[in-house]
Amino acid sequence: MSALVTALAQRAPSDSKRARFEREMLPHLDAAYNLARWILKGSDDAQDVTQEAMLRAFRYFDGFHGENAKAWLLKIVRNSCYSWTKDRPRTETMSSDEEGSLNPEHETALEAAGHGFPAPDARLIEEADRRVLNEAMQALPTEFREILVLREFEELSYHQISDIAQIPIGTVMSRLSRARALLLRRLSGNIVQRRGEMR
Amino acid sequence: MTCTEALTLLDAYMDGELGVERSLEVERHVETCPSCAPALASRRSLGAALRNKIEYHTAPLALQRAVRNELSRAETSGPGAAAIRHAPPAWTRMAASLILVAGLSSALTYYGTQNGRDAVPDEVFASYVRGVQSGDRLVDVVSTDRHTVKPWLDAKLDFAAPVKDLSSDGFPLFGGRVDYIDDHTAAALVYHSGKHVITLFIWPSDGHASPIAMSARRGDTLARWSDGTMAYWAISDIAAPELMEFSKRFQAADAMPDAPPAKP
Repeated sequence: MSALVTALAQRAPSDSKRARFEREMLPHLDAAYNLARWILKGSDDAQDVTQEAMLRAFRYFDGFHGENAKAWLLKIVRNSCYSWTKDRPRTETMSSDEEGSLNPEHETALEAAGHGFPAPDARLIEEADRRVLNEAMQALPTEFREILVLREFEELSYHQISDIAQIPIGTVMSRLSRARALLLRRLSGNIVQRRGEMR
Repeated sequence: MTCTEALTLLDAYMDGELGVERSLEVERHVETCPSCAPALASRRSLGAALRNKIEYHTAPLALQRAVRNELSRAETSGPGAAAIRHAPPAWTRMAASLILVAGLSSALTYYGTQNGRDAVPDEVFASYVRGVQSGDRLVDVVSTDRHTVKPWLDAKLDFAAPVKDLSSDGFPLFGGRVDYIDDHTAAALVYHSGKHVITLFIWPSDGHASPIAMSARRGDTLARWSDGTMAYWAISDIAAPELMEFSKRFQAADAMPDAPPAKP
């Protein structure tokens, strides 16, 4: 090895903006892509949107001051996803099609349902296979689905989620609660239905 | 605590987002309540099921590459290049290279227009600078003897890059890496010339052979040619006559065999 190469190899990673970005942000590329996939409902556009978001993050990187890197990046990814869908004709992708999501009437009905019916058996949920889980997740309104991804997959705190989704912490709590209730109800329905079909 | 209160706080309790006191209250209630206990159990199962069974989409290789490419482009053309001007003194030469790249746009446009592929030179430069800048990215495979680089590259590339042994010409092969240039993979061979490094990029050309064309800017030298099958870009901080010599020697030398000799 020549002296130059030795010197290059021994040098600490450069503190150029790019080197810092690669160190801080690139480890979260999977999380970025995963979130985009779930927000965009598995669309092929998730790659393009993630790529655009990473570039945007690089441009804004001077504004990153050592807070949680993943949360910082995912906020940009989420914004990119929503502005991407805004630029296009509104499709089923982002619509709050089922359960009416934030419609107050439906919320009341949902809460009534949560209290009125017994919770599904935990063992029933354990039976749920990958396909059933994926379908149930996909069927959730986007604002519920994204919050579940941030909490269950990325294990972010309510505070971080509130920052990413730009909603108060109280809303994070209630939305997460409703998201889980919806998912549980749908899952138990699907599993019971499938059992019936198999008989 | 009533069931209504407990159910409202159940998620926050499960997620560890409640204070100690509230947590204890929920815990006490759930332990004794026949309707809230299953609610908590099913929520816990749901969390486990999601984490263990559902699809976690990892970034495809194409995306990883595209992001790195975008970063290179942003770094050499955007405000990122300006930030690198503040590099520490030990980086003077590298910083000079980066500023060179940022300032080279006119020369690059010339090459780009001539090539009809504007993106290529930028990417080649970015890749060169990136390689020289970080010791660990300079090569992905080190040439321990003349037979390590060629098979390694052949396995990674969708074309056969000619790897040549120029040690008797004074340019020992140090190693190679694979880069992503102009939407396809390119081989980057790293040769030594004394204490200097020559990076030679190779990728399939558009079929037009062209003689060696030299260019030099602020201490970095480029040589570009094509043999009709492959396009070659050699970049180094050595003087132009020396890089010309390297390029001629490379053209004249025999390529290493495509496949390693079969074992008896």
